[in-house]
Amino acid sequence: MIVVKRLQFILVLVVLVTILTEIKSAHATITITENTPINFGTVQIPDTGSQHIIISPDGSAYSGTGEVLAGVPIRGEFTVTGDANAAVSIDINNIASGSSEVTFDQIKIVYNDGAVLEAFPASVTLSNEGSATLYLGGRITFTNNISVGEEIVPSYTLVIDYE
Amino acid sequence: MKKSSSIKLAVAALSLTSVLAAGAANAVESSAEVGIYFDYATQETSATALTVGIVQPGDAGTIAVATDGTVTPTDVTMLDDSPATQHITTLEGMPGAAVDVTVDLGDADAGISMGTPVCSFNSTSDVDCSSTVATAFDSNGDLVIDLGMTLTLDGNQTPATEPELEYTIDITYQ
Repeated sequence: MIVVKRLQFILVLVVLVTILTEIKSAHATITITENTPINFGTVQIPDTGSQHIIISPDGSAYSGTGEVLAGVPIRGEFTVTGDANAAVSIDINNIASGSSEVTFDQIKIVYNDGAVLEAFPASVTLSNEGSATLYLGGRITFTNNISVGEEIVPSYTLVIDYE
Repeated sequence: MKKSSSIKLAVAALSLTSVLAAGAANAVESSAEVGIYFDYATQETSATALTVGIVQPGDAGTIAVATDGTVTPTDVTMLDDSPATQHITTLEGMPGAAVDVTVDLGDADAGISMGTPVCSFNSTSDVDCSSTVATAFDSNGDLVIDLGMTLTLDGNQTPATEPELEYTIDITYQ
């Protein structure tokens, strides 16, 4: 009887220690806020073949063979928050072009206006305040088969996780 | 009875541990859309040039060519078979899109000088378009630009020639 009680006590103790350990190591919830969606503006449909426009994540002027008719192409901007100085992984999933005549690729991210991330998943460290600013660029390629007024909405998913 | 309680406590604690562990490993996702709109470049579907018409040789005066096509000669005799005409450009573009219109005057033939260009967009009121002015395609994506001006003739224009006026109209999306 005493042995059983001791075993029960030890079991409960182990469980409690485990709970306290997990509580101590539990992370703050990661948040992602899209401050500015990446936007290519109004792009001219090429007369023949395909053209492309590249938005750089470093904020420099757009480039490529395509022509922007209206608006100014702008990089996307996200704010990520979590634990201070935490290592997090950044991934890009579910990339969709929205049309067979469009390709959205070459996604790059600049982390806190510094390092350029080109391969995903990538790893970064949040700041002392537990945040990071991510700037996102990419390439859009499009053909002359697009119709005026056709609604084409490329999309992607930004995934952040603790490492 | 006590044994049963201890086991339940242990099971509950293990469950809580699993939840905490699972929560810590959950990734956060943010779905985002790429902003882009496709359209054709501005296309000129028709254009007629601003012309001086045929003037009696040696006449000195002015010919006011209004945006609605009204021609008012002063001290100039114009021959009826070839009147002066305003410039008309018809464009297709993005419905509702704002554009900048800039008229640059070039050279005119001897004896003729061009005055301040005046524009009317989609038959609206005249505006001075000697510098860049803003307008917009209508909801159907149409834009008609009527350009007029006053031409001054000094009497030294070359006889038996059709005077040429050089000017350009640039239209760019804002």
